[in-house]
Amino acid sequence: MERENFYQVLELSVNPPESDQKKIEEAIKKKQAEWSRYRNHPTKAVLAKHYIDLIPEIRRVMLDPSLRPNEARQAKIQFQNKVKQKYLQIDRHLEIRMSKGFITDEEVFKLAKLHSVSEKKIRDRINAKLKEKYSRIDKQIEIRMSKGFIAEEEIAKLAKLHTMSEDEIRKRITCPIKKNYKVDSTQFHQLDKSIEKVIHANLKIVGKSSLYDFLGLSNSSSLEAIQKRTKEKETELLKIIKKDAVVTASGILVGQCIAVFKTQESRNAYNISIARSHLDELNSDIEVAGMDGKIRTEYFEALVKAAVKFGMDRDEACQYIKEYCREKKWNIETEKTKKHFRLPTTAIFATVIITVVITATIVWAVKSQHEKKEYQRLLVEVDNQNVLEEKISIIKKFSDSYSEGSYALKAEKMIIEIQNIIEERDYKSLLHRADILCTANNYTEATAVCKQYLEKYPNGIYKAKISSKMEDISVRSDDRDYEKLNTAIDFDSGEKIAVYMEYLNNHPKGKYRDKVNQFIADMQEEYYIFLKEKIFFYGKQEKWKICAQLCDNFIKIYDSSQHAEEIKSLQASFQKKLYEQKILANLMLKAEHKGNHYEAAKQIYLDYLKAYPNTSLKKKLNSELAKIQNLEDLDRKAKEKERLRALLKSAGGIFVEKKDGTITDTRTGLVWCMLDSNLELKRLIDYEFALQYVKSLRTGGYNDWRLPTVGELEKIYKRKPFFPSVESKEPVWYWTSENYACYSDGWSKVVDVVSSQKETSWNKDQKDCRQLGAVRAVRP
Amino acid sequence: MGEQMKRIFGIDLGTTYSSIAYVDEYGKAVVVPNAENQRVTPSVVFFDGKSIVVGDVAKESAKLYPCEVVSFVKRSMGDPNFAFEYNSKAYRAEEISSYIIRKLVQDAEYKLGEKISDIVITCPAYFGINEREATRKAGEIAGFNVRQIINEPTAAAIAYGTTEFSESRVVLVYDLGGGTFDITMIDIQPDSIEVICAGGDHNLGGKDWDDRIVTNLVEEFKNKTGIEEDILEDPDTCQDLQLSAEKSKKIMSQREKTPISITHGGERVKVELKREKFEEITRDLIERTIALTHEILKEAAKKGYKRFDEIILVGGSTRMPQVVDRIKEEFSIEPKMFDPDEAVAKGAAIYGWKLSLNDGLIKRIAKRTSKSLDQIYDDLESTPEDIVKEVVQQMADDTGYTLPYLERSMVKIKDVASKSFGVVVRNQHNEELVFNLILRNTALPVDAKKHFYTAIPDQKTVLIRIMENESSAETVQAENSIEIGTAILNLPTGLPVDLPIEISFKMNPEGRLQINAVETSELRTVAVAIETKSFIQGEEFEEAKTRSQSLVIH
Repeated sequence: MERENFYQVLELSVNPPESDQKKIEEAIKKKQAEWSRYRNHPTKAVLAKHYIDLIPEIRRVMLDPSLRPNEARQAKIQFQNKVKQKYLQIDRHLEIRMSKGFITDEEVFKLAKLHSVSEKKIRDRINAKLKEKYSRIDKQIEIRMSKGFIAEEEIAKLAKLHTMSEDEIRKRITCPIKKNYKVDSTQFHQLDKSIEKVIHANLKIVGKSSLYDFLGLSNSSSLEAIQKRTKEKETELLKIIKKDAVVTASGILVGQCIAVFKTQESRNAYNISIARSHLDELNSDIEVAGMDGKIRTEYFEALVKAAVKFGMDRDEACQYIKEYCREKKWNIETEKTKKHFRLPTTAIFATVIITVVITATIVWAVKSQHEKKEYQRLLVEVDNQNVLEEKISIIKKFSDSYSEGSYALKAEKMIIEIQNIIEERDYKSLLHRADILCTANNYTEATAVCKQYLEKYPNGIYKAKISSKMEDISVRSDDRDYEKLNTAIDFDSGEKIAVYMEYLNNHPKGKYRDKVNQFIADMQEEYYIFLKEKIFFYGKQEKWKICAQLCDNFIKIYDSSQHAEEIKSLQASFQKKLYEQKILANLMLKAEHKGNHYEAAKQIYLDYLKAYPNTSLKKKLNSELAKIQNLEDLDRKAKEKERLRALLKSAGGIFVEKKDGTITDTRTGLVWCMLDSNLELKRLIDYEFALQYVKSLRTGGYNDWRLPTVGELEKIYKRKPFFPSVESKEPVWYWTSENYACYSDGWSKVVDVVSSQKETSWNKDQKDCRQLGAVRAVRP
Repeated sequence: MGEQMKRIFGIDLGTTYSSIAYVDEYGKAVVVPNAENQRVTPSVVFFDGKSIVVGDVAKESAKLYPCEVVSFVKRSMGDPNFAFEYNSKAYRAEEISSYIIRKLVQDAEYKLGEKISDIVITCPAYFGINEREATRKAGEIAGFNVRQIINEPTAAAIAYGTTEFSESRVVLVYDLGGGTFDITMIDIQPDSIEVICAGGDHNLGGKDWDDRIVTNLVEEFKNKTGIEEDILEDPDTCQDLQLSAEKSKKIMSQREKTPISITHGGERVKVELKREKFEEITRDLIERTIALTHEILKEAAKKGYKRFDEIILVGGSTRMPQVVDRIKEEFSIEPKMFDPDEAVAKGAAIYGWKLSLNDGLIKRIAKRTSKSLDQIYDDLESTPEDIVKEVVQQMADDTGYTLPYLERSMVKIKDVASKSFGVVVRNQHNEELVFNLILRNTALPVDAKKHFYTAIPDQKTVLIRIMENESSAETVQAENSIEIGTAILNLPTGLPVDLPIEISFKMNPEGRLQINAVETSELRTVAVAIETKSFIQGEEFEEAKTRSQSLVIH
């Protein structure tokens, strides 16, 4: 905070400067008492503390006759105008040169020579200018942010205005960006007014413009950087013992920084509030200008200029100010309205005289006078407004407020007149447009715009004219469209029928309708064959919707033909299929949502099958079930493989997975199948199937899998280190290649088996070949 | 009960409310209600012609006579530039505070029917030397013997440690009062209460919460009436709004919303304030207390205290639900509300009672050992244990207190230096620096010495500028320190150049600073008189004291 001038602080006279020691002493005492009283004021406490802390310095300067004159001089200077800008001319020249968006080295050189200053000075000015430009852009962004967001179109506009890329603009934006302009701004969280006040008051004391400025960071800094800086600032402050006003205010601001920059959302709220504060300044300007209930032309211009300074463009500024005044019900004078205004003034005068005469109706007169005034104001306002629709809405507002009044009728009349003007305007513009479209052979669009007009003015003055215009368009397009049909000869039957039908639709009263109808009738057989072919084609792809649509097209045209019944029944069957397709898609979607909860996914299909045992979808559902089963198996196997791989790591390099799904025993060179048959098939198998199983096994790309011998299995299950074990509740046992004929209850075959149980002492075991076991396949 | 001990009263001199307590004949600390039968008295002074009104009446008068009523003077304690003017006479914060103390004592005397002469006053742990000295002066102006100034959180911890007695634990005292915030870590042991470190902000308290409500109400008034003027310019409205704000804040500690009416310039506006809004507009304040708490935790960690067992809440402002909620959220611990309004006064009373017992003990030991009182005071530790035991037993018999009770009163209380203290020195680049002799949060008492050297032969004087700062470093920039006083060393003649002069800073357990200097050639002690303008003293002090005695206080 720049030190205030003590003459001003003490409110002492400067011209001539107060020099009476006693009076100064008194002034200090008076102020000391005042500030001490304010020491605990809810909003001015910190400022009061600031002044209290200044007292020793004030005494030192103001009570010293040698220091005081300088203070008086300074006070005078502060009253005088600011120092003239040194580089005013250079700046102007630069502005011209830079208006193309850049400046060349040569230009810099020339300018430096012209003004006989160093190139560096010129470059410094350029940098300053650029900085200015950016700050201006930032201002413009800010003012647009005040509504809580920035629309894409605004970004585009700004980019164009400053010949910058949209991305560059986007980088500077710190609030949400919306595609659409029309968003309810109330949904954005805004900082509470009282918090804004606290921040504002304390920023003033520390001499900073925003919390960003206070932290010494730019508005575009990341939230983390800001939070970090806040922490640092807090620590810095804690180290300062002198708790003067600036430190106290800084403490409050740090607290606000912690709260405001806690989340992006609260930060946005603050950004918006900064933007809003700029608008507040503008608003206060408008308030001052409109003090007497109207805005003079000169004021309006000044306000527009001010608004432009705040970052609006001219149009926006005019609109904003007008809107503001409209809400306040203030009239904006223009040169034109000034002239008009004289007429109503005389009218008022006349009314006044009349009201004096008719004393019996004084009360009414007062009312009427007021109403009249309002009516005249209305006339001015209406006249001021260039947009006809706006005029109507202004008058409507008036007649709403004075619906019983004597001017209501006039207002109504005015509305009707304006409405008629609008209708005429629209009619003329329609004719113009329709003609252009017809010249461009675009009869469809021409008819459409006519239709639009009729919809807007169903009982309009120009209804008949428009209808005849439409007929005219229709005749002209009829010929053209019929000619077009000739070009359809090379089309396939479907396309041909389509263009014929289009003609019939577009020209309900066309000259060539009979001819076209004959064409269509002649095409019946051709189209039937075409249809069948198409149905076959799409039916193969199960595109039932298209099939049904094709049938529908046929029936619409040839409903009474000999094929109609057949096509109708076909259509019904397609619709049924379509329905089933939808159900299937639905079920599949549901199943898909279950992810790898395979049981749940299967249950969806099973439930459906249970509910509709005779559904035609049975086959498909079963195939879906099989697919899931397959997925589940794959998943299970993959998991098992993962588990085994983890175990392999701890087997000390004896068992190695060389190819996917196979484990090589490095001691024997034998290659084992990683998964046993039990895991692959999820069931146990008899000996006969076991032999088939190994024969058809293709794991790892090998086709020479076989059953292991007892010795081979024994080596991996009954001696250390053991083969990674299968995860199952009880150990399974494996078929071996060693089998014998045996007699017990009759002749049968027995096979030596080895259990997967890891043990070092074991007894050889044999099983009847009809029993169920598992296979641990091996290859050479 | 036999012998009557001299009662020393404890006074909690708060920013917004004050209270007085003593230890009764059963050894229990009790608060004495004032003449209006309130247990706490608003720290508000109303200059009503020739008499002074303190308390609720003064507070209510603020609405009618905003310019004659002064409150929150504690925030200006030790500020030489603060002056409340009444009848063209300027009053300093000390003097105004003395009226509050007199009111408390006077009412207690009347209630108890006994004369009070000795008091213990509390102040925020965060107070520097001058603020402490100013607090002491306030008691003296009121005409009392101020036995000690103790820290508010320490007092609260004493009250807590002696009532909720159990095994040792580390507590964090979160003291959010009307005007100040103190955060202190305290190690409570069965035989000692030791402050580890303390921090806070003496410009952060319930009043700030009130002020936010006021600001909010001003906005509401603007919105509803369209009146743009600053309604706080009107002293009546300003006072009225402040009172309403405080009331509504209290209501909102219990309820979700409260209606407030704002009257200004014939306009009357009704506003409903919701707790949610209230918490929104004060969020930054609560965040500051949390940030300061983290600072203290960091400081404590440096001293080896990496954790704490509980958080106790003291001070009326901790009743706001947002305080408890925010602490729970931040530290995942359920804070304990401990007698928020009275803990400090009661702790001060217990401390006073301890001092009084100690007096008795020393008297008896002196008698028993036939030594002088001063000898015993200086070296109580060296008294043989059996003699102490014997004397304690004797005291128990005389006073009627039980033996364990007396033993428990022997609990040692250790505080820390609230700031760092040093002197201005020049480094080799001839830049002014502050060299800290005592670092903040050093356990008290402390005696720090440092050698400085004479610059010229036969140097006559040395100017010592005594500085206070918040730094924990040995040297600190002069601009980050404040001068709390100066002392002139008058040296003996004929000293050579570069002669070491030993300056020692002695801080007693109470936090009072004493400075000694010794020139090392002949080990002569040099007199050091500290001069400061920061608190009332000398003639001004005497005047204020006389004035105070002649004033009638209601």
